[in-house]
Amino acid sequence: MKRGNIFAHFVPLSLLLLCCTLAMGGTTGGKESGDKMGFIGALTCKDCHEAQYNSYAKSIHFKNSIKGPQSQDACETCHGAGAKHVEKGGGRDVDIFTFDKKKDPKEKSARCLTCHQRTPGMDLWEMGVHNRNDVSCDSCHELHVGGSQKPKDPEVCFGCHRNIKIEANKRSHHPILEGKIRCSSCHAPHGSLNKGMVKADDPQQLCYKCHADKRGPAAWEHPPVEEDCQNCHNVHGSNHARLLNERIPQLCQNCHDWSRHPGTPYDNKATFSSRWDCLRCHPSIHGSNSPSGGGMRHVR
Amino acid sequence: MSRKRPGTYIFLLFFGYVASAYAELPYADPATGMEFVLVKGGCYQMGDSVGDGDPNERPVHEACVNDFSIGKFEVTNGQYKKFRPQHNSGDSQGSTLNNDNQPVVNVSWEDAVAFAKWVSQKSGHSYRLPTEAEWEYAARAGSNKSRYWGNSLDDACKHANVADITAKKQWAQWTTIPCDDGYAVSAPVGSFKPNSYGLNDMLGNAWEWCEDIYNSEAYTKLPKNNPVFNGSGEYRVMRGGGWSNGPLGIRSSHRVGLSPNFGHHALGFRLVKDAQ
Repeated sequence: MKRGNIFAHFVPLSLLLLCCTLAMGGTTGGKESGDKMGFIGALTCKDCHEAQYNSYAKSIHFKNSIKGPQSQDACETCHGAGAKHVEKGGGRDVDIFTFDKKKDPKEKSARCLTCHQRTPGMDLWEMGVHNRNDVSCDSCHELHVGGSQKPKDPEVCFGCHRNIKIEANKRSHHPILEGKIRCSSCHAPHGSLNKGMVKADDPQQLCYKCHADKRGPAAWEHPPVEEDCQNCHNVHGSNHARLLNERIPQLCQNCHDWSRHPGTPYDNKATFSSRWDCLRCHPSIHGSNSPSGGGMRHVR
Repeated sequence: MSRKRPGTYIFLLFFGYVASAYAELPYADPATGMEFVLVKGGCYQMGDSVGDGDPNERPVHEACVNDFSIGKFEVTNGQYKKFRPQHNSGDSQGSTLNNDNQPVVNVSWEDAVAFAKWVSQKSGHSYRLPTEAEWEYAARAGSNKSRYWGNSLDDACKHANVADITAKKQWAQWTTIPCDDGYAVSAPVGSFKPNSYGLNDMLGNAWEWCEDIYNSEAYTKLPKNNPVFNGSGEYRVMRGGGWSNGPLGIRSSHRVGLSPNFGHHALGFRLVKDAQ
């Protein structure tokens, strides 16, 4: 009987405890749904913003397979809860977050970073030059478009970096316009610790990724080559052959005594591809492995 | 001095009475049948005098308007289709917005202005969109409350077609007014009580385009008499709230700026005819 009494009390007490536990769990769930207060759903947004919704529907953000807006709160994942906006009848910026030009760039980027904080390459965003100069994600990325949301490179970059666009259009240039390399081939737009946000600690190393033949080591090194390619080359483009900063021989004569090989200024006879330049006799200008003294003078 | 017969006085009195009564009658545009009510000009406190509005409704300031006649109802689909027969106000999730007696919606500011121009040419009168100041003066109808029936929402469904219980059944997430006006979407114009100027649906049913360019700080920049903002700005003003709006949108002083080429399911207009 005693055992029966224990069970008689134990079972209802257990049930009571279970109910309390479930109720507490329910409270937690309720709080979570409380966080969703004010969310009205994408179809309501679509009623007024059909064009934006349709473009969103074509974008990668719409895919349920990624951990993106569509698997969360759709439009309201980025724009915030829309109930008040709807209640008031909409209007630009009325109780809704918009990615307007006037909006604080850091506030806009913060919205994207909610998900993209861990996207590869984003580790240095905070200290990157773009972020520090009030460039926000939407400055380059168009989100309401179908297909890839990667910015068009170099067009988007040239939108701000006009001087580079000018250089890239010069007679001798890296094949950026031709689409053989892109700005992002050398630069890390999401942030880098290096000057110019280049993708290598040392600019030399960046050049050597493609121009490995200039890397050396050579028996006879040319000191300015060892130091920095940009001593002689303008990396984006130049009006002189081979992206050189100046015409040869003037470029060489910045360091080398001009009295030995007097230079010839541009005239109607000396064209862009002058046959009479220093490299005609000193072709191994980036370094020579010739065992003789000729190597020292980069003749071979 | 010639003595007038008593019959002359009676005739003059009768004529005066008939003339004044006629003046009070709504004017009906012959081309479309739109009815216009004469609103006597005056001064009022424009803006959020109650304190439940947004910053763009302040500062509250005195505005004065001249006499004008304003549409008793919002322009209907039937009236608008005399101008553009192919226009379709569409539907909202299966509920039609395109019946002849429903307010025309999905019209841009540019469409509304084009309609006013068309009617003006057709009828020989000068029609236009109301200025914000005229619109609010007409909507308030002498009231200084949030809505022309008062601050309370209790009677909202008698006076206006708003986001209500009926709409809530279809759009559960909306913030609604806890009453039942019987319509999930737009109602036939004039289905609800008019304000004291005899104007229907000044709040609710469909938003209404106004003439002014939208500026959130317009109230600090405008003159007192017949104000209208024509400064720089890319948006035009809409007023009055619609069938999809809750308490914050259904207020006489509430103002929103939208792109003039934008139209949506609860945005229409009514016209003004300058008093002669």
